Amino acid sequence: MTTWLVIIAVGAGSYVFRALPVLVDARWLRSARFEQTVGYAGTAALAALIATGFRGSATSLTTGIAVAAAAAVAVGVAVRSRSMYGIMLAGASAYAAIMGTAWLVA
Amino acid sequence: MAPRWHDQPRWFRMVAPALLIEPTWALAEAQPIDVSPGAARGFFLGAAITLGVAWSGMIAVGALIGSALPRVGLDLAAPLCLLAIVGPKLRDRPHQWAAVTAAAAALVGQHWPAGTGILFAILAGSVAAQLARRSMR
Repeated sequence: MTTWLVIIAVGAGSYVFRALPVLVDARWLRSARFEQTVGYAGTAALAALIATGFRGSATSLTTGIAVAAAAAVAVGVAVRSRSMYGIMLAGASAYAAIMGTAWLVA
Repeated sequence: MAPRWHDQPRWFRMVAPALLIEPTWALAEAQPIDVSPGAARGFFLGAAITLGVAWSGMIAVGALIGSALPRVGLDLAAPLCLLAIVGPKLRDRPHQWAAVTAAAAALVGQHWPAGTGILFAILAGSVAAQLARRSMR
């Protein structure tokens, strides 16, 4: 029961946090400067989640090297192209190549 | 999304925040700002119904059967998905600064309590991007 209450409370809090800026029709929310800042905040939020996600995937020296290679290759593709599939494919391929090589060597 | 949705009807502004997750935000954010409110509304609801449902469904599937799957590095898929979402913005220098600074700050604050590390990273990334934009003028 307590768990469900916490889930409902967190869900309601999350909704209010998202909905309030949209429902409150403040003039400063419509300024180009505000939109630019919020756009950077979105990129920053996703980058923070990406960094901690990559860090969490590196559970040993081998996976750490593979994850670092995957991250580097995926970021490289992200900067050079706009292909979402290309980014995922490049990162996953780099990871698979290093893990496969480590498996063959071992 | 507040600046983009201020012309939308109230029912949409109440429903849409509940459907706002990473992929739906990324698609809506990538849409040109001068598109008509009706087209923007249709686009977002389409993305929310298809991509949003699929994304949430896959999270549920992962929570239910993820631990039973063999360890083949599937956990790498989540950050790669997010990188694919944010990737198209990384050609712009202020966004690059936002991403690099936020990533470094997130690693510094990853053990901070109650998600404060992520909030710190967002703040640091936003400030870095603003400074980068000013230095480009």
